[in-house]
Amino acid sequence: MRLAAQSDRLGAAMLVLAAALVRLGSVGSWPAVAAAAAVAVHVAATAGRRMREHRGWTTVLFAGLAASIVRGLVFDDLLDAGVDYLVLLAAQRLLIGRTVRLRLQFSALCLLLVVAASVVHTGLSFPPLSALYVFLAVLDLVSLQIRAAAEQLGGRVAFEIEREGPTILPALARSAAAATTAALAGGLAVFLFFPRFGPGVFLHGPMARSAHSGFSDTVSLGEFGRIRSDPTPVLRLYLDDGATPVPPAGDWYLRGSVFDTYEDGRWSRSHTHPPIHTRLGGFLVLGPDTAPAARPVAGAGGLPRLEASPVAGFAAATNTLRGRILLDDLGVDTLLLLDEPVAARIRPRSPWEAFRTHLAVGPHGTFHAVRPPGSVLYEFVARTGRPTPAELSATGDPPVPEALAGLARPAPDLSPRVGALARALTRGAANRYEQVQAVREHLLGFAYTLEDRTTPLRADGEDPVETFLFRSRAGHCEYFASAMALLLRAVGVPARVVNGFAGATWNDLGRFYVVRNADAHSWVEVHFGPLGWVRFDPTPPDARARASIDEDTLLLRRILDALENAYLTNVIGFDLSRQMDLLRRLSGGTGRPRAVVRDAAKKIAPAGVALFAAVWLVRGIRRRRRRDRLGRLADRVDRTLARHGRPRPADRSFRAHAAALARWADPAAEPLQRFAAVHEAVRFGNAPLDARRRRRAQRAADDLAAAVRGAPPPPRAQAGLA
Amino acid sequence: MAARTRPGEGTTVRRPWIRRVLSYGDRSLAVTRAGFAFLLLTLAVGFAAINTGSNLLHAVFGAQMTLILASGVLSDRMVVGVTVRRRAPAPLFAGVPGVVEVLFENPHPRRVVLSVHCMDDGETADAPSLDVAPAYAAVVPPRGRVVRSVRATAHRRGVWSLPSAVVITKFPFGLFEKRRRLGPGDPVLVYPRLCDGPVRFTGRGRHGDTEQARGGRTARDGAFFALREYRRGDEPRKIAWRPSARARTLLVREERSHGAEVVTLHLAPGTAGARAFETAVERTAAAARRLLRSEGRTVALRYGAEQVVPPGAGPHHLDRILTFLATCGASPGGDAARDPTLAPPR
Repeated sequence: MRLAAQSDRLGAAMLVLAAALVRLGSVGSWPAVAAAAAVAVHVAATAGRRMREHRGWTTVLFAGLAASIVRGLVFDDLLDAGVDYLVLLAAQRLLIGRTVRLRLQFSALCLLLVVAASVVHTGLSFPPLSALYVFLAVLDLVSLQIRAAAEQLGGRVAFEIEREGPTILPALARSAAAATTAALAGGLAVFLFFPRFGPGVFLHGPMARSAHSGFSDTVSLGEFGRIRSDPTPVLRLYLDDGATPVPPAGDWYLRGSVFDTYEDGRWSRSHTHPPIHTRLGGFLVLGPDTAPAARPVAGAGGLPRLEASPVAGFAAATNTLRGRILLDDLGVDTLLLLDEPVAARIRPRSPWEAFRTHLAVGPHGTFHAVRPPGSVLYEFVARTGRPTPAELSATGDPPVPEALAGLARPAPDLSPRVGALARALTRGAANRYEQVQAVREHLLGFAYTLEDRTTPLRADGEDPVETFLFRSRAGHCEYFASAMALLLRAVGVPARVVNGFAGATWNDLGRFYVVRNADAHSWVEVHFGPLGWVRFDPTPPDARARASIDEDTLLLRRILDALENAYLTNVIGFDLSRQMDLLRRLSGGTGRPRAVVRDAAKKIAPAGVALFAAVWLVRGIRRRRRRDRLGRLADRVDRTLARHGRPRPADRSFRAHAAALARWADPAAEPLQRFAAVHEAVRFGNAPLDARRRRRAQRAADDLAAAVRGAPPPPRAQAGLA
Repeated sequence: MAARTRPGEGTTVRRPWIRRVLSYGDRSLAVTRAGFAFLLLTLAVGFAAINTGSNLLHAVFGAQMTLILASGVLSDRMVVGVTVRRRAPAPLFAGVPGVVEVLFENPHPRRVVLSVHCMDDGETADAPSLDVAPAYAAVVPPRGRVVRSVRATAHRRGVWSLPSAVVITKFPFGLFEKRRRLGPGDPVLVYPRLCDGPVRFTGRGRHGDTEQARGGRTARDGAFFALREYRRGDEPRKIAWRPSARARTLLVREERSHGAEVVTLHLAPGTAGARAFETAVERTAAAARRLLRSEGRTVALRYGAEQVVPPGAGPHHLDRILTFLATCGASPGGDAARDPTLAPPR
């Protein structure tokens, strides 16, 4: 029963861990994970009981399995549906897993889930959780092996196993710990030294995926929660050496999705603006061949590098920042790039990734990468200079290009009062810049809030933007951006809404900039003729700053960010070149295998010997202490007996001495008998001197000392005392 | 290669050539069904890791490979680290389940031995004269021993060696089955099957050479008759210690029982294995037990013209008779039957 109960609890923990690992890798669904967790709790609560009522549970699980099959077949969502199926099937096997065979099937399913998680889960939580999982799985397998013997050889063996449970369980745990340590060491060795090949020629297509959640092709006002406010890092940005960020990181805007069509409170992309790009030095550069947005210039050491192309009437057009971005898997194919991006290219971290990742330019100058699940690393070239108000004013009211005519028309669903408001706000504006500023200043007087105050006030059939403009006058950045874009369009100014992230934080521990989910933002781009699209942010800046995280006080978060960054760089991004670097460093720069081994042995051997000696010493001391602890107690008992006139003869056991004393109704007999029971069990019965037995022996020795104090001893000769 | 299933063990030996390849010395290795599944999964993960270049898949692959290696090392340590001996604490009766003790001993001062079986080696070509049930020790502590009593059934009377045995473990993960062959087992004496039926016997007058009148009762009512040398099977309490000390050899007291009649059982010589002879042996054994145990008679045994067991009474006398009956005739047991330690007392 003990082994069965332990096995049930282990299984429950394994299921929760395996499900959590895949879910943290953003595959599978929360309902499936929740169902598995509920089953795990139920199994743990009823651990070891012979009968378990599970008809209702089985019905729920089979319904979930059917739903995941339908989801996979109908919605073509194979990866998530497959993981859900595995999670629910594992839960079902755990639920009915009374026999070793079923439990082995459960273990195999959990192992498949962990393997899947190792592909999709690139977070820092994977190593500790998977290490814990390995220990539990190994302990479970070892326990199952003992249970299998009981099943195979019948009830008598089962009884013996149950009887020896207290001895077996610690031994099994020690074996499992040793095997786990070996497995983790083996995993680390293969990770470090097994050469990466990754031709990926045998697999095609099924794992690539595109947008699911987060940034998507649509934005629905009123459906709050699209932009999350949690501090989870979304991307890490590394500037090229020597680059000074201008503007400062706090003012950075990282473009994500661009929306140009508004209808019924929803923004979407029209796809009517064909992407124009060219290739330059491995980069995908915006703009046609004749006028690319970036040009090669001589960089440090004479090496060519890309720089934003000059623009007439825009003095800071060539202000350029270059760097790399490590973007977590947001579930979309859009790459986030520093405003205003002019060029980008993927930096694959393995041949597999190079084979599977394709970069493309979307409408409105966005970059998209179709790639395997997981994070992606890419380089960017961005124009960081912004036209001055004078330069913007100088453009006057430039004509709207034919291709952008749709972006300068009023939204058809809006009531005339929106147009009236826009005209009232822009009355007296001499040029487009003044029109934009007038609208922006109007909106800056509104309240910024993450609460949805607009939807409750919205009348039937009323557009959310109208509710925001005329009733609530409070909302989050999407409301501000939508309102500004629609007001500008109402007066014939081409405008579009951009979703992305605003602001970044410098992490001095990891030396990178981090952008979090809480930095998600929405703003507006207005077309200024020859100067192109120019960004305007109508959201009150002070309010957003108050809503963001106080980074200076969160040292722990910075440390965690740095750790996660190191993990992503050195573990997830560990590639063949890094392996070669490691080998080269180990070999002192020669790179020859023999030298590698020799040098590694020279470096590792002393540490290994020291570690071995330390472990040996500590184990020896602990063992001696453990052994001596009972011996010391026995000596103390003997001294107590001798001091109070009841010396134990050398050829008499504690138990026999207690019996001799009991014949004289001596008060020392009872505690001495208790001590003898523990002493014999440990000395001769191979029982471990665990905390419980140690306490019992200690208490018996204390009681003995108290009992003999002042009590007259029995006559020596009759009691056979020494 | 044909598959076959070993009796008494659920494991199917699918490909004997694999076991041959994986054998070295007295040890061999077999892959279980779960082991095959795990190997396949490991290969698949390795293939995926190499194909994709995924770092974490490499780590998982390495962990799986190490678990396989650890499994081999730990299982080897289990079967090598334990000393196993099987012995029969008492003679068995043919066709009747008896008891064989299996002693697992772990001489190592620190290591624990976990989950070891000891069972008959089903791969030996000899037809076993004894079937011994598997014994299992979940844990054998350091410098400790575990004794398991298991059921054993002998098919024929005689002196047999316990069948060759193997120590098996699937520890730690049940992926592989590691086995070590043990040496030949201890000899075990198998008494004939007890089968009631007519036997030839003769009764005789009073005789002084009896030690006990009724089974289970002491012969306190008998008068001292003489001293004689100790024979194996004599009760220790009959030993006369002072005369033994003087004579420097063990002597036992013989007492005259009142009214005891000697019954002599006659067994015609024959060949072991012959149906008629075996039946006669079984009936003689049953009669001896009935006379000595139930009726408390004094019994002697003649084999042809020779008196092979002198008159006597009591449980040890029954052992003497049964020991002779176990080995009489030309034994098909071969060398074991001539084991001097088990030769019948004359």
